[in-house]
Amino acid sequence: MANRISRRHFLGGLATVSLVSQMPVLGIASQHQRSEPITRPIPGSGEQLPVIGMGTWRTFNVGRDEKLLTQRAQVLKTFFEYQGTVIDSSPMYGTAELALGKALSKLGRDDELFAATKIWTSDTEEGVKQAKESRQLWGVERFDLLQVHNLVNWQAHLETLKTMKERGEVRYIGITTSHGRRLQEFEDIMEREPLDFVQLTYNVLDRWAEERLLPLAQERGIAVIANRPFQGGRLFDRFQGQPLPSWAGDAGCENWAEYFLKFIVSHPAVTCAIPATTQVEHMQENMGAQFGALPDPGQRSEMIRYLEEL
Amino acid sequence: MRWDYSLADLVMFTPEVYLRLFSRFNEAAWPLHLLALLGGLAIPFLLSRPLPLFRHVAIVLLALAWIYTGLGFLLEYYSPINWPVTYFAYGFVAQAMLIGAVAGWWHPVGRWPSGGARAGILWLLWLLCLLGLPWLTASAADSWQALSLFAMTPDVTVVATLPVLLLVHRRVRWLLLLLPLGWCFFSAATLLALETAGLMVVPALGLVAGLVLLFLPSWSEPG
Repeated sequence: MANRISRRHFLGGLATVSLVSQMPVLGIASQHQRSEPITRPIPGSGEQLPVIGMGTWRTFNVGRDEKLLTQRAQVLKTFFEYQGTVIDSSPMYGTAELALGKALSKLGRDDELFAATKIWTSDTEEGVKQAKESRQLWGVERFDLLQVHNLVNWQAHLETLKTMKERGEVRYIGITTSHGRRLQEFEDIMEREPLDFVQLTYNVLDRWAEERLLPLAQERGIAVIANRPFQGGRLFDRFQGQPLPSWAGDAGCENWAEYFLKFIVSHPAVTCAIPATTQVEHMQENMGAQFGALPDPGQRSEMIRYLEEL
Repeated sequence: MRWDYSLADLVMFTPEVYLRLFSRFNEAAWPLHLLALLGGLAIPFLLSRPLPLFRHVAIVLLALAWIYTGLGFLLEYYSPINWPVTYFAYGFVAQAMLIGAVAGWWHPVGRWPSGGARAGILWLLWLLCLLGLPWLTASAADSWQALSLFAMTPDVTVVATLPVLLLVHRRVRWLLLLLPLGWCFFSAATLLALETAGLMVVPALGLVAGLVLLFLPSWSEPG
């Protein structure tokens, strides 16, 4: 594990303005600090991970904009306050890794950050350089998880990652896909390669992974990270104006973010979901999904049915 | 195989970050805005003079506008969040050289019309680019500091160049339209993906006008 912000740093660093504007939420946050987050074991090691992580697609690519870097650091601070650990990024996301590294450095870190990034290049040698450069950008000694992004040159990169794992340069290795691309190939790799993690798209409307990939992950003992939990924000566009069902509270859902996220992480094969946001308020809502009750299988079916009828 | 990509999935930044580029660049570039504005106003005036030297100076000013936009806004600010922009940044420098070589030397640009409907239309377009279009980004960002000025930011610089290209002989004009058309397409697609329809007006206008320019005869005045 890499490092994570301490509570002392967090409380000491809060600006007056944000203290005033976020008083009610801080009350909830401190409740969550006292609560135990819902966790899932990584099948290969038994190590527990909180079920809500943080993605950085679009949200942390802010260039060298100091104002936005400070604001994103506030988002990250909120994530840590709610006991988040898993952060996922990629060299593909522009300056996201640079912004993450600056925010982590500003906040201070301890050993609970679970740092995950990807290799995204068609060049095999470049893959090794990319992993090194990402380490420098994040400011971590080693990554907890390195993944081959969207199966780009996966044969060569996976061999590199296996070697790095043997040498102790990375703890876990995996592959990713999104939007349902190259599913058959993805499944073939899961069947024959020694993967610790897979990352794929899974949300309440995109459930194709339930057919083969999620059962296969359970069978093979592979941890699953769910990306695009809000369909890139489209789920909010479609449903946010609608009321939550009357039984949402029984399923542990207080808002739409929890509804979408708890649906995902209540699938027994899913290890964690990685929503991305630019807003502290949205981060607070997202992180609420790793506390309290999870929907049972019957409620999960109701969740799907309710959305389909809206 | 399922494929449900949308254009928005291919853009790696948010509208907020895009609009902040303009205010950050303007803050850093001040007071070059005054030079850009003066240079912009001088170009039609210089092009309308009978002495070819004045027109050469106008072409140099236009080329400088492309270079500064490419190396300043595009390379320093925009390319870190959107990697294809790096190629366009160098493309803008190449376009500046091409403008100099073609419109300054090979087939020198003709005279800006001194009167009549054509002069009125060209001046209207030029002033729209210089003083009107820059406010679109400012309006979207809700901050006048996010103005997108000619000679500093790409969309307006590209669109403002089109009236000048109308004074170039049609036989060689297409050469000078390749990059502007490519940029307008790229920029319009990006802004469409960012769901900032209001900002798309400028590159969309450039795209349509650039295509029309491929077929229009030169509007330059003899002399």
